[in-house]
Amino acid sequence: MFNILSAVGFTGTFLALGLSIINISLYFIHKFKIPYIESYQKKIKDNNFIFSMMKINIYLINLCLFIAIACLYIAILTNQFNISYVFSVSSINLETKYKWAALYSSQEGSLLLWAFILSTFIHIFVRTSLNKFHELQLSIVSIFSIIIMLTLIPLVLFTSPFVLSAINQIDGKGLNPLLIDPTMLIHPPILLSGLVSTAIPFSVAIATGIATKKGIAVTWSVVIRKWILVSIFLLTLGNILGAWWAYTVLGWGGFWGWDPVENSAILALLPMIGLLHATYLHQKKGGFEYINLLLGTLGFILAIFTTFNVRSGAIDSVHSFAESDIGLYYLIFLSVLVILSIYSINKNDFHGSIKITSLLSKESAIIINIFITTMIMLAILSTLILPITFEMLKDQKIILSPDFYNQTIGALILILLTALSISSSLPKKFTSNKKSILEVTPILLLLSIFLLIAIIINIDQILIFLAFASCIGICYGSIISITRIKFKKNYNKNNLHIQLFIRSLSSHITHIGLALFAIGAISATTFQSHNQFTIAPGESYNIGQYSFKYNALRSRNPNKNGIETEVIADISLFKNNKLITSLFPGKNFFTSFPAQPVAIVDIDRSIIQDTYIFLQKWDNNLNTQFHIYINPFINLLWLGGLLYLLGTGMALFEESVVKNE
Amino acid sequence: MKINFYDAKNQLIFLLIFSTILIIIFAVYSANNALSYYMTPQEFIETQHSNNLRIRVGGRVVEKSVKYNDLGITKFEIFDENNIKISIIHDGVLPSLFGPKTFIIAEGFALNKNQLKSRSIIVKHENEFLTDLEKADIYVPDYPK
Repeated sequence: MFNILSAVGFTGTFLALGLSIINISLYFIHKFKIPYIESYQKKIKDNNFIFSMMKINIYLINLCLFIAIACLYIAILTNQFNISYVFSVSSINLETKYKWAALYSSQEGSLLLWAFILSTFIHIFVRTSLNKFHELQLSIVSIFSIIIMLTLIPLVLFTSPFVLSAINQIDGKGLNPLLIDPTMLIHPPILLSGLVSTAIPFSVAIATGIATKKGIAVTWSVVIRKWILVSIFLLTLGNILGAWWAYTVLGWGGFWGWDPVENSAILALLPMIGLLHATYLHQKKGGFEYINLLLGTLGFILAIFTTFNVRSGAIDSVHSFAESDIGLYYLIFLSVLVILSIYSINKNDFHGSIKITSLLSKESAIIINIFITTMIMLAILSTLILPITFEMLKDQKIILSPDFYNQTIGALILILLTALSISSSLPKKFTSNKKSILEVTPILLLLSIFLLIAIIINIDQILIFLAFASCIGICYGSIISITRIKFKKNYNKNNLHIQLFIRSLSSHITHIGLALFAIGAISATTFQSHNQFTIAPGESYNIGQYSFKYNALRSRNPNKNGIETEVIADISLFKNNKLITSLFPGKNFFTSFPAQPVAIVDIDRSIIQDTYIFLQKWDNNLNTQFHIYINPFINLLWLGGLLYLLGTGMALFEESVVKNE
Repeated sequence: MKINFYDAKNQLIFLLIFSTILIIIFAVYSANNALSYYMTPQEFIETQHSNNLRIRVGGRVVEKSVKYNDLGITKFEIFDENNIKISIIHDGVLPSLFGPKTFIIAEGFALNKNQLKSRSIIVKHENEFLTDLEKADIYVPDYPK
């Protein structure tokens, strides 16, 4: 059996692997003297031939992987079920838009997409940013090539999406039912892009660390600040979309379950946030070279650790659909990155040191916040490493329950919010401890008032009150700081001032976004109410001033996306006897997976609260069991997330805005 | 070497070291109380359970064993590769994809030697679904018409 798309696609991945190996070989030819060809080596070095070749190879790798992924996508679009991967993830009646999701819905496709995005980022970096690194260019490209090679080895050798099936299939199995949701058209590619983008800071950091000339490019993180922001933007967006999907599809009324795979997804984000702030300090005060190098390499190391976690099934997770035997391979990949990282940190010889004027200065506050972010990262990392270590040492599988996260990570987040609320009011330039104390007095007063209210109303929720006060404090401090920038004289006459204005504005918007996000998350988690009841058609159920009238249960056959039957309950929602909306929760039953229904959730949204309804089951008399969740202020979470992204996005464009001005 | 505690940098370093120690102590204490032990149904039956030990049991749902009541309690059985079965009494929402033969992980506390009371259930989203086109042992839900 022959399939042209399969043949071309496989050749694309194979050639890309070959080109990455050639690039690594070229680097060694450039670096080390090889007997018998020394004169030839000197000649090609002088002509800059090696570097040009390596750059061209990077472009060719990207082209080969584009062809490979295009072949796979065309195969899915044209229902070529004699390719095993297409058979296992797609079907004839799958809507065209979900065929895009089928492309990365299983391991082989997602690894190909990972490789393609990686090569695209590297291509863009080589074209736009590489020339800023002069002596490091060759090292950076060779580290890129090592990463591409390590990414492509499993795709070519163990888990190719282009393997042909022995039988000619008429129809495919269909897409994983949980992926039939519009969010799944963008969430996985964005999250993958975010994880992959951390390869850029990693490669530049390693190249800087192993640079033979001491003192060069210590400002590497300042030069690639935009790439750090890209990582933060994509990882944040990917995680928010993941939370949105979990909320609107899974039917449990929550948005974050502290599942190991969810935790893995935020792991790579935290060092990138730390790196961005450490870069700011480095730019302002110098020093921080070791910390920057460490944080720069950690992002990608944790991204690969995440991949190992997801693919190996080392920890039980709801998301283990990509589990396979290649987990061990990712352990080797991870080891290579860790060794490179340790080597580079050991080899460099940075001398910079930061000067701290006072504990109440802005730089101290930023250092404390970087420290807490790192602690959160380590706490989450420990929850992923502990079960693996425990199993190796005691042959006993364990996992940390959500209590650990609520206590430890919750406590760290509370400290972070409190520290951020105080630091947001601190003056940018430290003058005296007295002035700093004066500036933070309103925040301290606010925190004290909230603590007092908590003691009077409900001492059990004192920490929740403190968190809310801190979030309000962050908003207050950020708004005050924005007004201060606004009234600076001559800011519009000088490009530098505009740049600084946008940078400050974007950082304050991001912090306000974080505060709103935290208020939404804490409210929806702590004050969520849950009701379950079973009623017959025509009956109503009352919760406070709300009344749910169950009108009917209907079924239909949508005949698309593998859905055999869609069962929908018709609910009228009344508030104080006045009809406010109709809700339609239900279940989808799939032809290929008839015993595994997927929930259809419906939500009545408002800024104050979400009324979230989930249909559990029904009997022969159509007596139906519903679950209702009231989630107060959960929409602040999404709004805060959007503001966070807006702030990060603004920071990305600050230089171009200056140029336009 | 004499450390100058009036220097802001030293104060900050001291604060960070002190905080690290506190965080580690707190995290270890918290983790100790939040450990959940994973077992197969066979290991569950063979283990002497203490009352406050949090347990996760993983297995496939036995066909036609799922029973609901109006209070939201679901009772069903799971089996492991040696066909050893235990009962799960679940109080809460059943996740999407829950059904006969799906691999689930139930977390809760042991009621007795072969019964677990669970508050949360994870359904593994497997790469290959058991119920495929050829071999589907079809469970037909009562569709309203």
